Amino acid sequence: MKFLFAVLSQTWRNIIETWRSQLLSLVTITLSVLIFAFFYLVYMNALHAGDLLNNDLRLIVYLEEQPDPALQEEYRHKIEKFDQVEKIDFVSRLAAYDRFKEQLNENQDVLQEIPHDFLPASIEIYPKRSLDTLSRIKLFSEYLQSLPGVLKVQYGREWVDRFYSFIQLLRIIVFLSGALLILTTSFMMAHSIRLTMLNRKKELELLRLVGASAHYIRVPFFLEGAILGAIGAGIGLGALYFLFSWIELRFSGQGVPGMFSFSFFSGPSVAVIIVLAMLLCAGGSFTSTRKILYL
Amino acid sequence: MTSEENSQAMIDLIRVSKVYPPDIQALADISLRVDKGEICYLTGMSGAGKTTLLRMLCGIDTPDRGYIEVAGKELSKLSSAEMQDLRRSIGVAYQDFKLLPEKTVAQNIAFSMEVAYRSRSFIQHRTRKLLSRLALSDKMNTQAAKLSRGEQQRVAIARAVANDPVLVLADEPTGNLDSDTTELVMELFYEYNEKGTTLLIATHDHSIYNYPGSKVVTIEQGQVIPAQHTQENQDGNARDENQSVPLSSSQKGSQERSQKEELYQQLVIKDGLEAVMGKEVEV
Repeated sequence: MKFLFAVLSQTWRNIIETWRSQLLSLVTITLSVLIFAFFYLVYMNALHAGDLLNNDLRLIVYLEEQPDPALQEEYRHKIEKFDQVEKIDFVSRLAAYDRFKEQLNENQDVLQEIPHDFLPASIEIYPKRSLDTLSRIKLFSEYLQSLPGVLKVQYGREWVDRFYSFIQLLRIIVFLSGALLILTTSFMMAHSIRLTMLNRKKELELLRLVGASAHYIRVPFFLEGAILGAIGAGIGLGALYFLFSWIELRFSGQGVPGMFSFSFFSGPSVAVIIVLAMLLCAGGSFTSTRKILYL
Repeated sequence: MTSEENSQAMIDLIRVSKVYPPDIQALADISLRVDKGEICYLTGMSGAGKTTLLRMLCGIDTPDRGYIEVAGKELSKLSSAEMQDLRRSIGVAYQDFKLLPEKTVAQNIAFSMEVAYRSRSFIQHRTRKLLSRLALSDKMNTQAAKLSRGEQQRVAIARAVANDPVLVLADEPTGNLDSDTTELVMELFYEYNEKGTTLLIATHDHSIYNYPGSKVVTIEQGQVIPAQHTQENQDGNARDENQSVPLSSSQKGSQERSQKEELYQQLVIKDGLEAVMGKEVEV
């Protein structure tokens, strides 16, 4: 308890005494978190939009022959072995004919001369919906195409491919901005703490001479890093929320954005981002204290 | 009782040597014992090795050879954490003061108590008391950089004793003081000594080592030359260090030291034999 009180008061004193030199670090942390969180938010919302779009997404596998129950079971087994699916429907030639007829409505008479089994039997597969359904669907269709007795696999290939490319691009941007967040935050913090320590070299030496423990010297720097990380991430996320609210208010109901309902990060996600920034900053402090203090 | 509690010696040096590059012999085979509660004055010309000796006692410097024990702990065997524990129980008044110029007098003094997790009220009370004793009450919130050298010296002394140390090492504590403030400082030291604190004071100032019963050790060119007790000094009886130490120690302390010397000697011989024979030798 005494230790905690001592390091907390030491941390507070450090922050008060060095806040000017820490401003640059704070701005860098804020910007890094803002950039990362912005792209992550776009990515999350794009996935959500994709999820809405693929509510009706299904793969239709056209077969050469009408499968008997044993073959149906074999197909089912192979499909489920590859990926989780919501539902698998086998559509016979006759059922396909009936559906087609129904779709033609008043034009049904064009089918009078055509045999009832002219359409191929098919399997309709509804993939289990998840955040990466779109990325999986392409692989799934390739797999299905390789099964014996399959004529053709059909799905909304064009829009799925485009959307998949968009999601891939977003994923790369999120990854890069995440890397940027990690590098800038930890390096900036390490640099800033190093400068602070060099400025206070005499004080740190004296602390050693009067018998301060390694923890007594180090922990305030970790806490300082963690606090700056929390403040920087808090400001960054606050700014993003402000931007998000403004966009929502300004563009709601107009054009493409009006088609989807965008949402901000959930409470736990916000907490994770803040904790991540705190850990990165504390990590940056740790490397500096290790290099300079030799404790 | 542990051996630490049994030991009478606060400081025990056996055949300690230190050479600074390229070949400056700071200490040469020095042996010295200061008992608990004793006052020992270390005298000698500038460059004689007094400061080196004090630096070794507080672990800032390490000897090239020899055995150093402080408060029952052999310094070469202490881990970093144990060394810090020991440092918290030693007060050091450095020759260059080692004050933080941008901090106030009170903050400088509080430093040694904060690392020992003293309560805020204790720190405030002790700081005020010490500043009052050293006639610095009006400087409490003054930046250390704005003090005169004499005032800075007193602040360094206040910081050294603030945490109730078992041992105070003071390097030229009265070097910048007039006779009145020297008296204030020495009274403070004696008061702590009466409470049980051992004092090792390196000084040029002949006027301060007249305190009855205290020991005077003179260092010249890194070697101890006759050490005296002030009473004996007045009688003109100078003694060799090895002879004078037992006079101020109990019989048990003297036996203990002999054992340590013997053990150390064996280790030195063992090291020498190993170096010659190139293999491990049992002693």
